[in-house]
Amino acid sequence: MELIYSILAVVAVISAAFVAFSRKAVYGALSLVVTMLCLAGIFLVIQSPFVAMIQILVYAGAIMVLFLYVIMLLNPRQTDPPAEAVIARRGTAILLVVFFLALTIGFIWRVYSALPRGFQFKAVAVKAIAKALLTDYLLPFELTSVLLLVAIVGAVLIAKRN
Amino acid sequence: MGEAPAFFQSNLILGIVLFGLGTLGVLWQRNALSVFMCIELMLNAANLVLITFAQRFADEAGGGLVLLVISVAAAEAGVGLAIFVRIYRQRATIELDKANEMQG
Repeated sequence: MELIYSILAVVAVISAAFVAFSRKAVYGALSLVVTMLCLAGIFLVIQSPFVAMIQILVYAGAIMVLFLYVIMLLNPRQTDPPAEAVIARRGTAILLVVFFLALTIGFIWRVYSALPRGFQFKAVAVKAIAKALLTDYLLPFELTSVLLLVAIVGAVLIAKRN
Repeated sequence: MGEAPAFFQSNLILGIVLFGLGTLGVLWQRNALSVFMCIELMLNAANLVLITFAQRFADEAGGGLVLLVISVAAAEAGVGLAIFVRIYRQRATIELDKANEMQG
């Protein structure tokens, strides 16, 4: 199990780096699919199969197909070699992200060391998730459908030719 | 699954690394579509940390919350990509450095 986890994590990080730095949007999109599939595998490893399936169906399936459609529709050209202002911006970006990572790791470490040791990940039954969604969290669940409807109408209105 | 605590810690670290890569990509890329994909990457990393903590505290509602987050991400992707199509139609480019004025 640890070997599978390590392979999935390493592949996820490498393909995420491709997403962040690739010059062509299509390569980035395909690497993002690989990252999402690896994350779905990790969700299976930590015993949450429902989230893994949703991740594959909605994220790696629906959303990434939408991305690929738009990339093919717009055909973004390969970007020119970066100007000096862009290089300076990227240097600043690296500094900022390193600072952010140091902060977050410190914070997470404090949370982690405060937690008691010795627990096990238990498998979450889909039944329990459905029960929570359809009883305690019914209102957010229903509001999501309204949100999706608004998003559909909005997308059509925005992309429509005048 | 005696080795589960190791997965807890490594999941948090993996989530941080993926989120950091997504942040770096947002600042690094100049193509609006690539920037948007990096935002999706950050959302995914946040989902990973969320579901890890939900599993850690044995909270069944965590899976439902992740489902809601993913639906919101889907709605956001639809509207965002529609906006990019609109920008491309007006300016024939979706490079963020060249789309830096309003009312073009």
